[in-house]
Amino acid sequence: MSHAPGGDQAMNRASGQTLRKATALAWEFWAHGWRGFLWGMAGIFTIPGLIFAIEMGRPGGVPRALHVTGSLLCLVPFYWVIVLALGALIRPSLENPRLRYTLPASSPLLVVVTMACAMVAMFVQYAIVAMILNALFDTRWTIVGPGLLAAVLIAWCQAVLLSTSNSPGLRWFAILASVVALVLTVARWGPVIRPEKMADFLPGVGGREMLSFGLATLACVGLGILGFAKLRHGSGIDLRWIGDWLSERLDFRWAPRAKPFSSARAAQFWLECQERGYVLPVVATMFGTAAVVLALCVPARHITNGKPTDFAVFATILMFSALVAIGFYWGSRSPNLDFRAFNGSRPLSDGQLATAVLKSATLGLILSALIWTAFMVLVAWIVAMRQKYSMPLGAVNRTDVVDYLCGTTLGALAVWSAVSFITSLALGGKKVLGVAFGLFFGCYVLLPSMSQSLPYAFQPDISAEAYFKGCLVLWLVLCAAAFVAGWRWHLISVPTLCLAATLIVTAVAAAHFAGMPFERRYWPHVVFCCLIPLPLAAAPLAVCVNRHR
Amino acid sequence: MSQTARPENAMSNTATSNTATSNTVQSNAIVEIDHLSRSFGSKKALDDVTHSIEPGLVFGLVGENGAGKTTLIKHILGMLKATHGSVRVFGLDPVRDPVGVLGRIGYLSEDRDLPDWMTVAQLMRYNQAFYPGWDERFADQLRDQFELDPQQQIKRLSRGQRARAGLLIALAHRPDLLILDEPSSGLDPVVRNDILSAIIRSVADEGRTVVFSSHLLDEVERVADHVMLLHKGRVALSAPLHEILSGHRRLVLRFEAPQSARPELPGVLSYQGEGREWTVLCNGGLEELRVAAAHAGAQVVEEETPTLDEIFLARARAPRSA
Repeated sequence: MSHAPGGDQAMNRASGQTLRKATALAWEFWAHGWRGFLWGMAGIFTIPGLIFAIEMGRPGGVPRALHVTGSLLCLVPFYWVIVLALGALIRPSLENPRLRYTLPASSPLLVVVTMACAMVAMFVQYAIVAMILNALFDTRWTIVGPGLLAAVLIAWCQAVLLSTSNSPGLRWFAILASVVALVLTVARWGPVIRPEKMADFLPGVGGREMLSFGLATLACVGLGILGFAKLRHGSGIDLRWIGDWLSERLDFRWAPRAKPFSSARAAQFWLECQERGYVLPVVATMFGTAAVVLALCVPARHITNGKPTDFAVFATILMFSALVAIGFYWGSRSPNLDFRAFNGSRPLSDGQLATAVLKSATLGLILSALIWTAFMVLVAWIVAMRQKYSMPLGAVNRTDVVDYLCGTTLGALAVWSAVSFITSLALGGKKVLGVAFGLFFGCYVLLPSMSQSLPYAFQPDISAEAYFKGCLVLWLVLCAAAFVAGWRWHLISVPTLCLAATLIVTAVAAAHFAGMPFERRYWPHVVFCCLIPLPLAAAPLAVCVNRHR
Repeated sequence: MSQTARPENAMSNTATSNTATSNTVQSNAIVEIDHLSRSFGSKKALDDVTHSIEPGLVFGLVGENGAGKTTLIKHILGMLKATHGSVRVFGLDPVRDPVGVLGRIGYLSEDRDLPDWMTVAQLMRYNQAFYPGWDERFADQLRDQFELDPQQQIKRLSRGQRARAGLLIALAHRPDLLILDEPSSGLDPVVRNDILSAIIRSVADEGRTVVFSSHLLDEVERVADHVMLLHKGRVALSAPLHEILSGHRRLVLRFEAPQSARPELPGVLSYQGEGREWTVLCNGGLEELRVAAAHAGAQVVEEETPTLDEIFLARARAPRSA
């Protein structure tokens, strides 16, 4: 190395340029993602907000609702839901690594800067969420330890995304393998599902923890740089050779020629299934497989101290939390949520387009429910065998079967309605989503809390229960208005109205036979049943708004 | 593939049948646009556009970036709702009756929006279901002509192949109205020629209507019957192509004395030159211009018909003419 003054100046210039490039990359990360970060953190509070809103409807009012919400949030599994949700929010800012391939910057710089920004973003987001939850609900979440863990996890996700940007199949495999490895690692610390308090989850960050986090971060950086560099220079892993290998060896000439579609609606339904409808069943299969692997590999003593079904229940809760994202994905037509030229120019009415989406979503839900149920039964059996747990079924009587079937029917209809409604909102585009989110957050979460914090003289003379029932009635009016508007604008037809009526009757009957007879105190359940067909009107209206701007 | 000349009989037929002006709305028109305006925030994308498109025409829509061409096309397709004014296609509202309108339209979008995951064969089979007039033999013929592998996925096609695939599904059902948004954008001359050949054939053979927007004015000049120039959302010029070409002249003027500044002459849209020799492009009023030039001490040494490109540039830069 030269020690001449010219050499020092060159080094200074080089380091100055590196600093400028790093600053520009960091700016790009934050400029692209700051809205998502803010909206995402606001959206995170819909989970506790939902719990709080549901509890508000019960006797006990705000103090009880706060206590119940706080108790649920103290559970460790809720932490993993938060991490998943926050991680998903950072993902868009890590997209499109190809845009960086031709930048005049080294691969380590390109990877390290964005990874560092992502880790900081994740830590800060988690810390803010934890502090707010601790202040509102007295959840006593520890901040530093879980925050650092979340930051390392996002670094790993980024490394995986950067290394697999050319192959969706490889990416899914890598994500799944990472989830399995993570659970196996965490299981060494203690029971994965045992309802530990968050105050006991990584309470202290000592030397050993910092070393572990540091080594893990270095591994993420190394993998990210290696994967990014290989893809940048066109030598990344490519799985297309598998398809080529198979097609060379298997003769498909005997396969019958695909018949023409019977109608335009059949063709559109096929497109929806092929494009998005298959995602949830495939995800259910993949995560079900991962759950089976975990059930086989996780030390028996670390699975759960409770019933073997706890593992299956926890995994199912995680899947439910993903249904919101799935519903959103099913409804989004493009990254900007708008109808692009191909979808928008289909010679189908708005109602027909919406029906194809809802049918595909329904089929996806049914298939994935069957797949997931099968896997969870298998998981519960494996765990029971490993823990030598006997599950006495006892005498099964007709009442139990009826209760179970009716409860399952009602639950399935409610899940379908919720997911399809989210799909409808996404079909409506950004404006509809923004308005709906604002209304929901305002009505269900902020208003009751805000009214309680007003000076006594200004507090509205409305009990929490009355407020909850009032919101229900408002939703019922909106639902009816949606059907009226859909009918007047020729977006829904007589068969759709008949289907809506059938759904209501089925739900009411299921509620009745599941133990909610026709009594005055159960009228909110009847209203809930009447809200179930809402997506049948909301989806065509959303398509109409978005497609013809 | 050799270039094919625009059939003269088709041009003369469309010239005589093209009586639509920018200020009247015809009842037998395929597309009727009446006082259409559209703003996006503070930006006015379309400003009081009125026009009708007759059947059997090749209608060229030209303008600079952001002039409003794609916005106008989206209104015709119903992807934008007319908030001021109205749009009717085949006598129907494209927003209220998307099936009736879109079922008779073949559309190639500017960004070649096609499902990436489909193969060419799947794309054809899928689109066949939407159009009762889908001609399977014609579709297979187009696919062979465009040299598209039916088992190739759309995402693996090159840009030119993707454009051909989009054109295939737009043409295969023999639409009454073919809408092409920047069909030649980013394509090599071979593919561009294929597209032009497809346009000419479809118009000449079956009398269909074509609306296409383009920046490549030499292509517009080769195939269009009627040209509309949009400038900042307004109709700057709309007339049959032969009228536009014959109504503009490029003159070379030689002055007795060098001119230190641009000579101000009536009816001139653009000036080029310095000193004694100036090239001007004017719109009509030739005699008046000759007289004015003579008074200014200039002599017309050359007179030619300008290209559409030159007329477009002059119009786009000149103040809006009445």
